[in-house]
Amino acid sequence: MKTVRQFSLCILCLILLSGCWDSRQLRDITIAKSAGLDLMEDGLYQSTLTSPVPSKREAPERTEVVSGLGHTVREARMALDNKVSERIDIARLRVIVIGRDLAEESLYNPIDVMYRDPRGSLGAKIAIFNGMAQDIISKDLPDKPRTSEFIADLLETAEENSIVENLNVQLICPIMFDPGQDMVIPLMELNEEDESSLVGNALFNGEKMTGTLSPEDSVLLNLMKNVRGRNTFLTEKVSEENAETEEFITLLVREADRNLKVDVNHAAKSVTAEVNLTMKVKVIEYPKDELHDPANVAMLNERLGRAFTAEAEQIFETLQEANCDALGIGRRVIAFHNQFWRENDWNEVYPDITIKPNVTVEIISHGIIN
Amino acid sequence: MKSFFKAFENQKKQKADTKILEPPETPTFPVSFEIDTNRVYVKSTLHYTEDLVEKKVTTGHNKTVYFLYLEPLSDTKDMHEYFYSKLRKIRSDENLHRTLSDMDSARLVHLSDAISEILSGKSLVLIENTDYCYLLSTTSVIHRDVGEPDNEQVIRGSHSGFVENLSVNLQLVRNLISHPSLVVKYTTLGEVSKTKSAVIYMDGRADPIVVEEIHRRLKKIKVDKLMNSGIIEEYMEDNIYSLFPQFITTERADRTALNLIDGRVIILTDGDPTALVLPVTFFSFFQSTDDYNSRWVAGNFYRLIRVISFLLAVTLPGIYIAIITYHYEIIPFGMTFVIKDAVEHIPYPPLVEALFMELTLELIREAGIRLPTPIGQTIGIVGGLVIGDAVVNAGFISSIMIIVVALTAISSFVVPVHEMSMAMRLLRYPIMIMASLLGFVGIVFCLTVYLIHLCKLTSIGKPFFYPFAPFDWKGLMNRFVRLPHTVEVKNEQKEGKNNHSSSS
Repeated sequence: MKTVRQFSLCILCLILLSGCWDSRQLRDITIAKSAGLDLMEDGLYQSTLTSPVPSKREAPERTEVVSGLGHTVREARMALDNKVSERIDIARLRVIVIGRDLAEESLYNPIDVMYRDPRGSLGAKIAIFNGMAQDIISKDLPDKPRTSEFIADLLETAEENSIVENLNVQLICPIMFDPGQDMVIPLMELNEEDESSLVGNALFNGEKMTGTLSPEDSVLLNLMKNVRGRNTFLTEKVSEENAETEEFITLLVREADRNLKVDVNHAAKSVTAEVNLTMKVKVIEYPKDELHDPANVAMLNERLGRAFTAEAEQIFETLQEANCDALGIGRRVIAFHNQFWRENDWNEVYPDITIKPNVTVEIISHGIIN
Repeated sequence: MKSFFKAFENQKKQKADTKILEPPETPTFPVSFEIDTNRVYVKSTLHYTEDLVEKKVTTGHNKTVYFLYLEPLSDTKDMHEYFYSKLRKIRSDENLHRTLSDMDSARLVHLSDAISEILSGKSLVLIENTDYCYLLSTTSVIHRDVGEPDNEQVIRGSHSGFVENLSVNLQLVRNLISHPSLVVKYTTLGEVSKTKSAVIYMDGRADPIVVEEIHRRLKKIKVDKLMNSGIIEEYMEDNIYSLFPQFITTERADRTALNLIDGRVIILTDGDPTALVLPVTFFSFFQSTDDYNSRWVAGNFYRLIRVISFLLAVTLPGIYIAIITYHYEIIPFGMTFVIKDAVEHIPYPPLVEALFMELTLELIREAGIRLPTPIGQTIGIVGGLVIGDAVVNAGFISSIMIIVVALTAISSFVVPVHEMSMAMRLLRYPIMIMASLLGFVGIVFCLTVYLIHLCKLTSIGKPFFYPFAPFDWKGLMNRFVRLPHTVEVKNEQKEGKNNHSSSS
C-alpha cells in the first residue's frame, strides 16, 4: 500500500509539474495567414504578416497587417511581435511571398527559419513577387477579404492548369539543395490596374532567382517536366506563316509522356539531352472545324508538333540563359555519367549543353461536333 | 486458474461492519395430536400477525379441520371448488386424506418445516388427532404482463421481456430453448429476504469451471440486504474497482437465450427482471439482438458505429481541449479561424469550459430520468435550448464546445447496455484533465492505462478483452464481426463442441 501511495504521488507530481508548460491557448494567439519577406535597400529584412480580424457584430471582416525590420528574418519577427498584442504564430501560414530583390539574393535565407521551427508551416504555398512582397500581402481585395486565401487559391488553380508545379515550403527544399536540378517557382505581380495576378514562373539557379518564364511557356515546360494538372490547356497558332487570317486552336491535354535521354561525350565535353514529348490532346476550340477528315487531322498534328517543338526550343534557350536546370538533366548526369559530373562544374557546363526537344501531338478527340 | 481464485479470495476481505441479523433458528417441532398446540405454535412463530387467516371447518364425520394461510399471499378460490364443496361428502378419515392428497399437496410431520412454506403462500391444513399436517399450494402469483423492456427496445425481433417473477422468466427462456441440456439450479440468497435465484446454463456448452465458480461465489453471499441483481453482480465481479462492468444485464428473453446457446451462464433473481449474463467480453456490450435480425452488412455497420461511438464519447472532449490548448496546427486551414473566432472571448481555460458543460449535461440527464414524461420534456427544452443557447450568447462557452458536448452525449447513449454507457461517461473525465495538462500526450497516456486495464480485466476468469487480448482471429470473426448466418467459422476455443453461432 505504501509503495502504491508513493508511486501515485510520484506520477501525480510528474504530471502536475510538467503539465501545462507548453500550452498555447488558441485564443491568445494571432494566427498569421500570409507572410511577405523583402530585402530593404539598407540590407535589412522586412517581414510582413497578415492576420484576418473576424467580423464583429457590425464591423466587417478586415485584415491586420504588420511589418517589422531586422537583420535576420527572426529579428524582423521579433520586431513584429512588439506591434501585436498577442503572440504571433506562423504555424498555420497559408502563403509565403518573397520579394524579387530578396529572391535574387537568396531564397533560402528567408525561409531557413521555417525549416528549423518544428511548428513551421511546411505546407505553405510559396510565390515570388515582382516588387515588394509587402505590397501584395497588404493589398485589400474588394471581393475577397483574405489575401492569403486569394493567393493560395490562385496558385492551386494554376496548378490544375499546369502553369505552376504543386510546390510548398517543404517540396522546394530538396530541389533547392539538389546540385543537378533547379527550382521553378510561381511569379506574381501587380498589373497596371493594380490587380494581383500570376505572370508565370521565376527561374532559379541554386537559391538565386535568375530569370522569368511566361505562363504559356510554363505549361509546356511543366509538360516536359512530366507535371500535368487536371485541366491543361494549350493554345497554338496553326495557320500558315503567310496566311491572311490567323487561326488558333485550343487543346486539352489528355495524356502526356515525356522521354528524356542524356548523352555525354567525354572527349568533346559536350552534353546532349533529347526531350521527346508525346501528347494526346482533345480539341476544345477550333472554329474552322474540319476534323472529321483524317487528312486534316494529320496535317494539324504535324503543324502543332512543329510549332510546339519550336516553342520548346525557345524555352530551353531561356532556361539556359537563366542557368536553370528545371528538367533535372544534371541528375541524369550524376547518375549515369558520374565521372563527368565530378570533373566538371555543372553550373558552367549547363548553359552550353545541347537540348533537343521534339514534341509529337496526336489529336484523339474533337468534342461532340462531327 | 488457481492464481485467479486466490486473487478473488484476497479481494473479499469483508469488514463485518454491519452485524448480520441471523434469523432465529427454528427448532424442529413435530406435529402434535393436540390441534390447539399446533395452532398456537404456528401463530406464535409468526408473531400473531394479523394477516394469518384461520379457517375452521368440520367434515361429514365431525372432524375439525383448520386451514391456516397468509391472506395476502394465498389464492383460496380453488379451495372452494375442490374441498369445501366436497366436505359434506367426506365420511371417513381415509376419504379425507384421499381428497387432500388429490389436491396439490404435501404431507409434513414437522410443523417447523411448514412455517417457511406458509410464508411463501401455501395453506396449512391441520386435522385433529393426527400427527401430521398437509400443505396445499394456494400460492397466488402477481406479475405484470410480459412486455418489451423500455431500455432495450429492438426494431425487429421478439418483444417479450422478463418480469419480476422468476418462474415466468424461466418459462420465457424455456419457450425459446426446448432442449434437455438446459439446466436450472436454484439457490436461496439473502439472510432476510430469502430470495430465490436461478442459475441457468446449458450443460455441455457452458464451461463447467465457470459454472462451479459461480456456485462457489453465490455461496459466499451472506447479506441481510434486499437481494437484487446489483448485489449479486458485485459479488460475482473479479475486479470491483474497475469502471468497466464485467457483466451484461439484460431484460430480453431472446438475448438471454442467445447467450445460453453461446455457452454463457445466466443468473436470474426473483423480484428482479434483469438477468445477469456472464462471462462476457468487452465487445459483447456493443452487440444488440438487432444485429442478428437485420441484414448482415447493416448489422456490421451499426456495430462499427457503436465501437466508434465508444471512442468518440471517451476521447472527443479531450481531443478538443488538447487541440485548442496545445496543437492548434492540426486544425485544417479553413477551420482555423472558425474555431479561433469561437474561442476568442471565452474567459477561462478550455478544461473549465468542458467540465462545466459536461456536468451541466449530466445534471440535465439525471433530472430527466426520474421525472414523468411531460415534465421530462420541459427539462429537455430548458436544458437544451435555454441553457445551450444562452450560455453561448452570454459568451461563457464557445459554440464549438457545445457541438463537442452534444456529439459526446449522443455517442455515449449509442451503446446498447446502460452500464457501459455509464462507464463511458466516467472515463471521459480523466482524459479531459490529462488533455489539458499534457495535450495529446496526456490522452495517449490515459488511453494506454485504460488499455492495460482492459487487457488485465477478467470476467469469471475469462479474459475480458478477448478477441483482441489474447488475440484470436477466429474469435474476432465470430464475435466482433457479424458474419452471415450461413457462414460458419470453426472456433477452436470450444474444442469438441458443436459450432455455436456467435451471439450477443
